[in-house]
Amino acid sequence: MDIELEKDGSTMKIIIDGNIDTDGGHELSVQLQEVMEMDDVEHVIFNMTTCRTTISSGIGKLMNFYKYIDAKKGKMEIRGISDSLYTQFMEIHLDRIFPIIRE
Amino acid sequence: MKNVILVGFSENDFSLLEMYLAEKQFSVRDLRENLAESLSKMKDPMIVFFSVQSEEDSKLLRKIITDYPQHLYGCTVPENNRDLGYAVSLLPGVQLFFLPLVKKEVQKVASKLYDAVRSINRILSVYEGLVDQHHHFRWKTRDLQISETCRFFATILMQAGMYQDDTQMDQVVLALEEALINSVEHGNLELDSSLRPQSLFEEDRYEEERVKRLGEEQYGGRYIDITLNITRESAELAITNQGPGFDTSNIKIFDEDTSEEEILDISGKGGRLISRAFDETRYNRKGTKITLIRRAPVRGDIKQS
Repeated sequence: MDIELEKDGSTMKIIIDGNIDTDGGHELSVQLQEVMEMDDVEHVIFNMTTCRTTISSGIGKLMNFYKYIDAKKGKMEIRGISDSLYTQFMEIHLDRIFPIIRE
Repeated sequence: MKNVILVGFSENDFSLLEMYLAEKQFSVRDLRENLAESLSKMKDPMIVFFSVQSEEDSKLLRKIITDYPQHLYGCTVPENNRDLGYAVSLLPGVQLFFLPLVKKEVQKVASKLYDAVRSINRILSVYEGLVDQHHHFRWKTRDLQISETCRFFATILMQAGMYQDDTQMDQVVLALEEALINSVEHGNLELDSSLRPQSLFEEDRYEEERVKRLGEEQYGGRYIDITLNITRESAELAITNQGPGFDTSNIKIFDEDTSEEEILDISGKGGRLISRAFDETRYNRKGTKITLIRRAPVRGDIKQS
């Protein structure tokens, strides 16, 4: 799994390429912490088009990240998601927490 | 003309095989390096016939078994490599030979390959041949490679025709990973989810404790048992740990009434992911054993290639 960060002003695009397994979850943690250290980031867009599945601890890390963004009155969304991951997220109602947009 | 890739044979054996296979209209190539790249580029149906001579060969064969089982039609392994021979034997339809090959066996190898090619619908042929298979595996917790083990069992279930669609492989692997991680971490290692950091800024005490307990004999030395029972009608995979157990009535259900607070909870979503790939999930009373059941698709529904 690879993670790419693209910053444009106060918007950060996080592209997750590959499935989030136990090793990928650790890498995700590291990258999200890096984003959290950037005070000027207010809007985060995840692109998970090539991520087909994530283990539950990976979802936990996304939840913690959302709580951080929400606490500083920022925005978080997923824009671009694989069909299988979309189904996975819908089943646990993540769309009630932040926008999940298929592109 | 079918392409056959022979990996790991001696020059002499390769020449003999090439001669016999050419008579059967096979195009034979010898490839060792960049096998994955070659497999991804070839469009025609292929047979990868593998000869295990060294530890490197052994590792490459394990990778083929987990990542490209559909291309493996035959395999030769050293007689003393019991676990590798067993792993191959779990792949229905794969011809297994033991080294060293004798001359007559080279002819037999070529003949078996030819027979295998004639059976073009592998899923149906596996389903036809399957009667009853019961397998028991056991590892010490600290020796268990979770991702590779789950991929191994998911491959067996796919090969046994339990899933019609190859794209379901990811879901099956994920479900098995969730079940196995729970059994290892909450079972044998007795890790509580409350140790997980509630924010990404917090120190990950859960991960630190996980690594520490893996090294301790009282936790890491506990066993994980996996049994797999396959019949024509269904597959049952059970994972048992030696931990203290848990209250299975606390397993979360995500439905329309799930609160935002529950969704935001960083733990507890594994159960839902498991149910996506298996028809039924059962726990024993103590909570130390999870059984995942998948019912075989109706024969008429099986894809014909």
